[in-house]
Parts: sequence; C-alpha cells; structure tokens
Amino acid sequence: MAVETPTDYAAGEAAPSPERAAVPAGPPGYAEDNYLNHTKGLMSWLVTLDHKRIGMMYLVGVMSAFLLGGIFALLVRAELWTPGETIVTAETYNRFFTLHGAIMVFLFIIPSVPAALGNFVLPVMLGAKDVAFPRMNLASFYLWCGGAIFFLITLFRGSLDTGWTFYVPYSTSTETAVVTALTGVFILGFSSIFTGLNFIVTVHTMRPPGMEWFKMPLFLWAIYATSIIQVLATPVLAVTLLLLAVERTTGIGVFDPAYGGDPVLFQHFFWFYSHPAVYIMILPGFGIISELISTFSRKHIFGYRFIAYSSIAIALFGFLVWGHHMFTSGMSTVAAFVFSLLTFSVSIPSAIKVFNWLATMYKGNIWLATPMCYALSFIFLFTIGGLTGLHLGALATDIHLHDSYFVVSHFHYVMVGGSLVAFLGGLFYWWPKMTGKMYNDFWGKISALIVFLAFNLTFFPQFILGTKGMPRRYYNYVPEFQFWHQVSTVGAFMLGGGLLVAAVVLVHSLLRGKKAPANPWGAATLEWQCSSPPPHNNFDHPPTVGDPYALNRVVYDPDTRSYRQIDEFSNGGTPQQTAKV
Amino acid sequence: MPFIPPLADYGDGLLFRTQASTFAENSDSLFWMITWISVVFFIIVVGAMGWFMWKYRHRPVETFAPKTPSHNLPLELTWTVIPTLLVIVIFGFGFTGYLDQRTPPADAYEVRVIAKKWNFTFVYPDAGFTDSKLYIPVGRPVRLRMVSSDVLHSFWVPAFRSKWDIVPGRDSIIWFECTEPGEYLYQCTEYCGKDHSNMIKEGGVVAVPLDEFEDKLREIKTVKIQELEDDPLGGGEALFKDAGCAACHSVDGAKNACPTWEGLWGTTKKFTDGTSAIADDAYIRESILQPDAKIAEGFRNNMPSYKGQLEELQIMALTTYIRSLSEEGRAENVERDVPPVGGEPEAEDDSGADG
Repeated sequence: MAVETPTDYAAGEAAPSPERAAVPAGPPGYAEDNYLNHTKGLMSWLVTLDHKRIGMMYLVGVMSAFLLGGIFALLVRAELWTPGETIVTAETYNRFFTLHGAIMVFLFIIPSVPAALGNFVLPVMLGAKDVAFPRMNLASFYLWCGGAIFFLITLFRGSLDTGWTFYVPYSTSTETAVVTALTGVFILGFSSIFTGLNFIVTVHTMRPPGMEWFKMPLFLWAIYATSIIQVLATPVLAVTLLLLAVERTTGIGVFDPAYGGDPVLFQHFFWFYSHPAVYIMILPGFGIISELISTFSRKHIFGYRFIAYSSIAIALFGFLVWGHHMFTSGMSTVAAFVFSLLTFSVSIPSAIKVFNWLATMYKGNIWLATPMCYALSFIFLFTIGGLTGLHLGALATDIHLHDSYFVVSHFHYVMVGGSLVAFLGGLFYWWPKMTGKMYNDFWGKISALIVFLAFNLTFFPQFILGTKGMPRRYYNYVPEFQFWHQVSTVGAFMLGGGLLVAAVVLVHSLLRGKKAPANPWGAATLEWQCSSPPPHNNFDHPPTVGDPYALNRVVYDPDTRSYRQIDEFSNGGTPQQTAKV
Repeated sequence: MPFIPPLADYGDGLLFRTQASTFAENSDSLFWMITWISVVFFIIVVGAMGWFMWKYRHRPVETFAPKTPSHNLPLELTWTVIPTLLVIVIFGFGFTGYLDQRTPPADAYEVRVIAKKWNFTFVYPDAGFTDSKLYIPVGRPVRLRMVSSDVLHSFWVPAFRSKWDIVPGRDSIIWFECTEPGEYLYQCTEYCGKDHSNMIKEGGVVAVPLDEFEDKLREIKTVKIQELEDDPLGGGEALFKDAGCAACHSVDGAKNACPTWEGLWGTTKKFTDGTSAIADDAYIRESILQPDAKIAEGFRNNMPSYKGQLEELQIMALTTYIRSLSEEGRAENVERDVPPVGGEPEAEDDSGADG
C-alpha cells in the first residue's frame, strides 16, 4: 500500500499529483502521516511550535469560551421572558449581560478567526512552512490562556457588573472584581498583539517565490489588515485599562470626576481601541466570505483589487470613527460632524465588497455546500447589519436610537450574523483540511438553515423594541414590550439548538467521518495543494504559485471523486491566467 | 400567561411612539428615508443573490462556469459613487437635525435635573419646589440643565426622540419643545447599576398647555406646602422617596452607602475627623445642606448638597420623619404635638417598628 510520505513528497513535485494520490488507502491527497500524528504525547502538543497545532489548541480554547458566553446569553434571554424577576435578581442579571459581552468579545470573537483559523490557514495558504516567530505564536496562546484564567477567577470572586465597556465612574465605584477582569483583558491584549505582529512579519517575509502581494488570496489581505489594527490599537486599550486599575486601587484622578478626572476621556480612550476592534472582528470574516463565494461559485473572484484595497481602507478608516459611540455623551458639535462623516465613509468599502461577491456569483456554477450556505447567510445578515448602521451614523436619528435595543440588534447582526456566521463558514470550509475528515453535508446545511432562521427570530424584533423605546441593559421593562422579548428569547434558544447541531456534525465527523481528499471543494489556493491533513512542515520545498482564483484550472476527476489541478497550472500557471489578476 | 398579540399595545404606530416634540417629525422622516433606501439596497442585494442561487445553481461538476470578466472598472466605480452620494445626503440631513437639537433657544424655560442612583429629581427654580415628575409647557422650548451626583446617566423621552447623557462633573444640556399636551414616559438609558431599569417613570413628563402652565406649577406648590403643614410626618416620608434620600439611606437599619436613619435622632455620632456630636435637628439640617461638614465614621463623603433644592418646610418635614425613627425622637415628636400619619398613633409606632 503506497502511502504518501514526506520523503517522496520532498523528492517529488510541488503538489501531490492525482495519479499518485489515487491509492486504495484513502481519497487522493489524504495523508496518513500528518501534523496530527507526526509526534505523539501530551507534551508534543503543549510545547509545539507548529502553527497548525497552535491553531487547533486555539480553536478548542475559543470554542470553550464561546460555549460559556453562549450560556450567559441564554440566561440573559431567559431572564427577559417577563418584566421584573423571572429567574434571577437585577444584580445577577447585570453580571450575566456583562460576562456575556466580555467573554464573547475578548475571549471569543477577537481571537476566533485570526488566532484559531488564521493560525492554521495563513502559513499554508501563503505557501510558508510556519509563521515567522513560532515561539511567539505559542506564547500568544498561553497568554490567551492566562487571560481566560483571570476571567474564570473573576467569575468566582465577586463577578463583574460594569458592562463589557467598563464605563467610569461606575467601574471605579462598584464592588465587583473589576481589577481582576481588567488584568484578564490586559493579558489578552498582549496575546492579540503577538498574533498580529507575527502575521504581519510572516506575510512580509515568508512569501514563496511568485507569491506577489496581488497574488495573495483575499483572506490573507483581510488577516493582514486585521493584524495592523491589532498591533496599533490594542496598546491604547492596555494603557486605558492600566490607568483605570491604578485609579481604582490608588484613587489617582484620571477618569473619575470624584478625583478630578473626566469620564468622557475614558470613553474616548476605550473606543479608540474598541471601535477598530469591531473591524478586528469583521474583517477576517470578509476574507473568509471572499474565498467561499469564489470557490463555491466555481468562478474567479470579481474585482480582486477593489476587495483587497477595501480591506486596507476599512482598517485605516476604522481608526477614525470611534466617536460615533459617543454622539450623545457631550462631544462638541464639530467632533460629532467629523465623526459622523467619517462613519459614513467607512460604509462604502463594505458595500463594495458585497457588490463584488454578487458579481462573482453572476453566471457562476453555485454549489450549495455547507460553507456556501453559511456564506450566503452572511451576505443576507451582514447587509441588514450594515444598512441599520446608517440609522445610527446619522446624527439626528442616533439621538433617539442611541443605547436602545436598536443598537443591540444592529451590532448582533454584524457580530453574530457577520463574524460568527463567517467563522462557522470558514470552519466548515477548512475542517476537512484541519482534521482530514469529511462531515455530513446534509446536516451541516440543516445547521446553517436553523442558525439563519433562529438568528433573525432573535434579533429582528429587537429593532422594533429599540425604535419603540426599549433601552439596553434593562432588567425590568414596560409590559407592552413583553411579546417581542418573548419572540426574541424563543429565537435565542433555537439559535443555541442550531449551533448545537453544527457542533454535533463536526464532532461526529471526527469519530465517523470519511477521510478527506486534499481538495474536496476544488479550490485553487495553496492550502488545498498539500495533503489533508497537511504534513508536519506544510511544504518541503516552496510550492508553485499561480492565480489563487483560477478555478477553471481545478477539474473534477470522476475516477477518484476528487478535484485535481490541471498540470500546467502547477507548473507555473498559464500567462493569460496570471497576468489578468 | 395571556397571549399578547404583536401590535396590541402599539396603537401609536408600528415602530414609534406618537410624535410629541418639534424634533420628532424630522427625526422620524429621516429614519424612514434611510429605511427606504436600505430596503431598496437590501432587495437589490438579496434579490440578486437569490436569483443567482437559482439561475446559476449547481450543474454537473464537469462543466465550468462560462468565462466572464473578473473585473470591470466602470461597474466598480458606479457602485462606489452612487452609495457615496447617498450617504452624503443622509449625513447632511442627520447633521442639520442634530444642530437643531443641540442649539437651545435663548428664551427656553429652564428646569434643573439631578440624576442619581436611581431616580431623577426635577428642580423648578422659579416655582421653588422639586418633584419626581417633569412638568413642561406645550409650545414653549424647555431646556434641562442636568447634573449627576454619582455615575453616568442618560435622560431619554422616546416620544420626543430626545436623549442626552448626564456626565458627573459637568452641566449637560438638552432641550425640546413639546407639541401635544399629555403624559409621557422618561427613562435612564446609560447603565448605572442595580436598579438602572427602575429609573423609568411612565407619565413622568407632564405637558401642560402654555397658558395653564404657571397656574399648574403654583397649584402643585400650594398642594405640596399644604401637605407638609398638615402632615409633616407623612410629607417627610414621601420626601424620603421623592427627593432621592432612599437611594442611599435606609430606615430599617440596613447598611447602605450612607448611615441608616433608624435610631439616628438623639444618638451621639462619631465623625471621621475624630469629633462627635449629638444627632439633633441642627445636625440633620446641616447634613442636608452641607453634607461634607461632618462625615460619619465608616462612610465616604458621597452625599450631594440639597442647598437650594429643598424648602425649609421640606427640611423640617424630613427632620420630623427622621425623629419618628428613633425612640428619643418619637418622644420629642409627641412633645411637639406632631400630628401622626393617618391620625392613629399606632401607625406611627408601626412605621418605627417596621424600621
């Protein structure tokens, strides 16, 4: 039985050729010796420098955090079933929504795509053997664990009731474990900076011959833009939280007016990070969607350069719009003018991406596999999330809608309908590559459908609650809102069920799934050219780089029931393909 | 659990409460303009997506998508420029509406607002009383000069489409002009701790026709004074809640942010500077008007001054109420012939025993 080994991989060609891969042992391109079993034992994982293993450990970590944050979300929704007390007291409710927000933002969404999927995919997609600083990469993961431990300590020592925004002076006067939580976020910030810095250097220095900037897959552009934000914005958060911790412990006046400080200054500092952080959450999602739409439409992405530049534009403009979180805080009219105008400017690059995805689908050959179902769901939900941002960016309407359920709904459409759905799409897309196992596509699609419907059921009613006058972070509410709150709660539990189905599909594939071929979706980016799962060092010699979206160079081979590259492509690509990027 | 049909209590519009200020119409029409633009874009995007999903659905894998261009500059510029122009228009309307809301006219009627955990108190400087309701004239601009005595709060009247944060250490200004007499809901919409969601009052904004407004204020004040004279004990108890004392002080011995009133009157209080004094009428009066003069041992200096907010009669009523919460104080009340609440001496004892 001729199993593919790293030896003949090294001696042979750039990518496994279909002939050699078509062996009885498994589908073409399935590697028996891969990064998962290359070395054995717990220590081989805990001290690994392999970006793929670090990515997998991150994945386990962020999914655990997601589960915890999700439980708090359901507790919040359950409490809102009736006005007044349903299951817990007001104090406990305030802890629930705070922990839901803080865990989801700092422990899940921010590291989800870059640190978990990005860590696994970025070097392989780039054609590199690893990231530039593997030790720093491992350190980043352990910093994440350190931050998570501080969050757990917070949970058991007085909890946290400030809202994830830590607004002063409430956060300097409450008796909950603010400093412990701040320490956690502070440490998580370093984890995020390490990842970002690593990716920037990797993209700059580790591209193989032929991987020019404009031959990089759009996912890499998106991750690159995200990394810039992580490196530049996170230190501001660290400084802010440090000042807050010092103020709380020593009484030095910075933000709290009782000590001569200014609470609005805290809001400026906080949002100077936390608004760009919104783009840390959504930009990688854009990158995933660009890959999925092109692959599953069997077509070259439309407007490659516009999409690439729009990622950079969003990263840059994203730094200049933080003030829109504070339109009713007492900013000057001039500041409001500038921030509102800049806020609208950032909507344009997002719109460009959506139109380019649609143009990619035009005259495509649209294959509704599970990842594509999530991608289409993303376009639907993100469009609603983006368009309702216009109501909030316009100053006159924002005054009414600010801090209402309209805002809650808007950012959940972006963060859950956008980031989370894109993350799931990416997870289902790269899962066969990461684990070497195929999942049940039918049940995968069912999960995508339930998530889509339940999400809308949960959050659409919240727009109506918001315009009607329901403020956010309210434990009690006027009885006329009860109907929509109950609809939302039912939706939330269905959403939990849909996510559970997705989890079962993935776990089932690990136990019972068929072995995955190297290229189950027929994509043209480099990670599909190495085996599934990838071998320990990804590529023994640099792969040949072509147009990442030349999907007509990837053909289906009915004999092996798998996709393979047309050979000219792996020999360097045809001139007309590469020149037209 | 009775089923509440979706739109049952929404007699005043699907998405919004009935417009009741001069801003509301402007704000809502901008909202609907943006919404309709959004609906058109949404239909274009999702319509095209659905159509492509059907029209170009998966065909046998051997066939390729026909070769189509992978970029088109005029098309890219079109869908960049059109949305840009539209958002500039939206921005323009939004900004002019905002300018209106941020520019109070000089002749506005001013009411002062004190926000604290967890209530709003409205001070009517001309009329000389305070209340937990906001009384405003219809058809005359009203300016609220708002301060917070603890954390961030935000004052929102949904029917007016009007909201502004109240930042401690600053004067926060909001103005509006009500167009319809009636009662409206106000609420706090910046998270402020445990009872944030109880910082809401249905019918808390009372809009009175302009020509009846002066009379209305006078009437309220007369009623308030009369009540205090007739029943200082009950009036003091009401003030304990209305003026916001209940947010920090307890009357049942519970240890809150400030000393409890149970058994306070007549005892000897120790202060942080090491001195001590008997808690008599003079001490209570000083604590209300100049709370930082003497800080009770074990507490922080976190009480705002009520100077200019409470009338002398109100301070006397509060003092009477505080006296009723201690043994010595009750004896003093009997000596001074204070009429008991509700006329029955037991009632007074009960309130003390409760506490």
